[in-house]
Amino acid sequence: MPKDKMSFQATAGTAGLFVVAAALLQEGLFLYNHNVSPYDGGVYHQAPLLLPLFSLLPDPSTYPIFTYILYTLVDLLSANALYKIAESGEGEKRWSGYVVAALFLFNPFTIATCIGRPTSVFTTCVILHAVAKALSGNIFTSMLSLSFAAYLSMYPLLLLPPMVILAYDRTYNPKAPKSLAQLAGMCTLAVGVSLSLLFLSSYALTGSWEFLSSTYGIQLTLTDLTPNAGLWWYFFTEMFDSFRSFFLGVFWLHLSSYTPALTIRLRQQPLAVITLLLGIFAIFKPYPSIADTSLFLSLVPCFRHVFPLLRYSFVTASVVLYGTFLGPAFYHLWIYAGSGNANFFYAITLVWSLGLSLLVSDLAFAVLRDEWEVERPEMRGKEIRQI
Amino acid sequence: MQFFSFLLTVLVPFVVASAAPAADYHEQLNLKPLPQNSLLASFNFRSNTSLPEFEAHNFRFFPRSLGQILQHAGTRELHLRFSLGRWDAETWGARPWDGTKEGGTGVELWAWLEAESDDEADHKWLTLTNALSGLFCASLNFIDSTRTTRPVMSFRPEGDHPNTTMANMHLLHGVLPREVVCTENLTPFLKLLPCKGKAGVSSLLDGHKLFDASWQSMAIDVKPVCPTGEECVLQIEQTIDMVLDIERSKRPRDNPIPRPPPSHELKCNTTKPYHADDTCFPTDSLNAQEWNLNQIFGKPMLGNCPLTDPKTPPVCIQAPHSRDVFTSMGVEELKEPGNENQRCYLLPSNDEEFHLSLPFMPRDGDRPKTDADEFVQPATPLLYAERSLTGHGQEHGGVQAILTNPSPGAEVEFVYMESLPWFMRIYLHTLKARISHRTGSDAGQTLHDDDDVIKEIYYRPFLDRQRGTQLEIRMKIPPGSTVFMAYDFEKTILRYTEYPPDANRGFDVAAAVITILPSNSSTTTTARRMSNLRTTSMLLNLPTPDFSMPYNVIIFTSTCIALAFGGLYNILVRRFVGRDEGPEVSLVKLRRRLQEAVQKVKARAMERLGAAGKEAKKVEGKSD
Repeated sequence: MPKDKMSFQATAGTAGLFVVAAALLQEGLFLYNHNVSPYDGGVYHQAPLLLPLFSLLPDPSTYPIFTYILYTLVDLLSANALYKIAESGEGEKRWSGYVVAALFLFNPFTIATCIGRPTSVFTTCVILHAVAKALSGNIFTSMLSLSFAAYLSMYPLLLLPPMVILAYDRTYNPKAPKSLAQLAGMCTLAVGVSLSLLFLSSYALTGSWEFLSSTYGIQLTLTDLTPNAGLWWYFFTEMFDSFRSFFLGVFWLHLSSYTPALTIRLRQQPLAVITLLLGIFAIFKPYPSIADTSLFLSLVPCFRHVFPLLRYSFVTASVVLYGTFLGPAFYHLWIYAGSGNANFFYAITLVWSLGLSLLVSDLAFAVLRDEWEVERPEMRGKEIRQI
Repeated sequence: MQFFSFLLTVLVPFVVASAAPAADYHEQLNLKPLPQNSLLASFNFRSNTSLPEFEAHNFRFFPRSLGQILQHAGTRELHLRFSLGRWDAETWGARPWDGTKEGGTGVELWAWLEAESDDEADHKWLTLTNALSGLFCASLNFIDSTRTTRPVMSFRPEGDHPNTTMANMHLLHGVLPREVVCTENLTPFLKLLPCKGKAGVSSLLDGHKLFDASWQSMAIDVKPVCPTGEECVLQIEQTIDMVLDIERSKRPRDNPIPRPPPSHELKCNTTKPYHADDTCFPTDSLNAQEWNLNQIFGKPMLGNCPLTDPKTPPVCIQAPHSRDVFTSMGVEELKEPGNENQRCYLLPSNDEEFHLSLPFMPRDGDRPKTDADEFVQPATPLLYAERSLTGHGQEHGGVQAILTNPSPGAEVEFVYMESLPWFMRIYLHTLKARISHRTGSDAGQTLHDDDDVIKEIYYRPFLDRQRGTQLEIRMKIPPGSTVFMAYDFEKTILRYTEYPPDANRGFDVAAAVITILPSNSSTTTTARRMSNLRTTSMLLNLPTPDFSMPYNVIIFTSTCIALAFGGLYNILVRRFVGRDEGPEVSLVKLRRRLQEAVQKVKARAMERLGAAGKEAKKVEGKSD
């Protein structure tokens, strides 16, 4: 309806949905192209700068091929960043960058994500690039990528401390050696400046600050309860109204508590911290999707050298596979067939989360043990215990 | 007055004749037999109060309770509807009053409020809905911000407002599709009438019959009317339209349960091959039933309301003059000279009961009667509208509206308005209109996308828990064409406290309001007035969580998080040592000590046993 005259009334407000699906983006785009503020409604909850990007593309309903090409390109860019990350590693027992990139590209989760065309692939791409750039010592580019990631979906801001340490460890600048605190200050400033620039340009684009509450407020307050693979939606569906804000605070505190803990304990291995944090986000963030899982799983092969130290690899793999197969089945039973209720799907999200958290803690164990064995090579292969 | 439709055209001369309107009151019942043994009964009660008297709290026929609410809430014009059932336009034709006096299923309210700002209007709206809720025993106070819209194209003020107040008037519209209209709403409705249902045509109104009708709509309209050259008056018009199934309403009151008729009374279709003594395919009884007022309304009409204008005939019937109609004695029958289908009855001014009966008209015999003798063929409506849900599953869905312009020559222009709940997330980009022509050069059932049908869209998207979607579409349908308009939406899962107690019944979605705009083309001789049409409401099924186990969910999820956190915490805070290194863990130490203690006890016991055995042997030796 290009010739339609669309009128609209602007009012402030928040609401809606954060399931990153193609139809929602398309709806936001449609409203944007018809001069209706997408943030005045409850449908669109993506960052504003995606709108001009997508409105440059031809109409996806008539020429879907361009959208497919764009998403494929973004995936390939992510794979490229992953290749660089994998190649930067040392040691003998590691897979080449090609293997790691291929494992990412041919991961069923990645393929499913690409078919679903969510906007989280952009977040994946910029996070991987931030890591790659930090590894190659490009502090400023890395921070810029990280700000983009934070701008797109907020939670990557929690990756800032390990990212700073990663960049610090990888900067070879003997002429002007800086302290970690100095570098951290610089990085925070860089992220702050680029984020505010992004916000200002979004403000210039939409003409109001409504997008802030609509894009980030929705993640903080969880007003939308669309079923997803995470733990939040059913918990807050069943939560008593008077305790809702308390538990929102607890959940967010829990999610952010992992960053300092892992960063301090695994000070020597910031890449491992980033990987573990991405795994934790894939489980505990407000609207997790398989895109987050695929991002986490894409970084796991970089730790090929600790694989022999994993204790529960069989159990983890079985549980994750169990969740993968039964999740869609139970969702179908509940939503379409009507022969199961919401508890079916809820139970499988619990299993899925437990499986992934088992993988995360097992990986943490393996990384720590590896670190310890570097200190005490004589203990390799011996039985140990933790005190 | 200019908004009265064809049903009242005959009445207009009487109204004008008695127009010395400081305060006056009219009431009339229009009966109109419809095809398939249905009967449309339109009750109309109208009274005027001059505006200065109203301002001075000097109510005469105007109900004081309502008047005070209107004054308190700054309401300039008010329209309230209570409706049930579905108007079968295919059989019954055009709607009474051109559809302007009906609402969507449930309760519908719209009003023009005088306010300086939107916030003030919202506040007054809240006052108004709460007060009306008490007055009419309806849940009108549940019209909150999520159910309130401000229509832009659909509604126009019907009254005559001075331009100074027009600038400050805010139109607010709210619907409660779930509300069940019932007797408790009729009682306050009748109390607003001057005769309060004790005399006059309102004495026929009875909750048992009214809410048993195939379709019914109760309406209250308050608006200022300024006849040219006269003082402005505030007019309140109360209307009840109902379509009765004659056979059903003739059921005796003491035996209301429908029972199968005995076999010898069954009328069978004898052309069926399986027709036999014990097998019967019942035919639809096409013969008009005989009926009288007493039977179908369950009570007699108790004379005239003494307050009404004596020149207005209280009862009219719209049937061919060839239809026999018998009335009680002393009733004067008025026949309009130019109008072949209308008869009115002036009642004597005593309090005697009024009876009216239509006898059985045989379809065979000497002078066989036909349909044309039974009822006036209903007029074709300007537009047929249907709306339904499409799709399956509880994730995505769609809405399809089928809009047909039956007219062979005139195109129809209208505004289609939907006010959808916020949990129905519509995707406007999926809105498509396809058109199929049945007449004209491109006749046939070919469907093609035709975006030219949609002329203008006003869209106000929903905000979760704050407001619903408002969608108004101005469309123009060429003659003899059908438009299929469809859009998709997504269903939301709600918090478990937001579901009604019968969550799996579904959520009611309000009827779409269609406002047919007056055509300004010169092809139609009579300038058409604004007319309305409403689709049926829909039942939307949302995915439901399990309502029985909030505690379990909280506990399970917390356990899952605690397991993950605890596992990771354990790994992070402990340090590694070899199996045989480091201090002993207290538990291991305890176990070792226990083992040692057990060993000791065992050893001691063995010793004792050993000693005791020796002694026993000794004793045995001695006794030997």
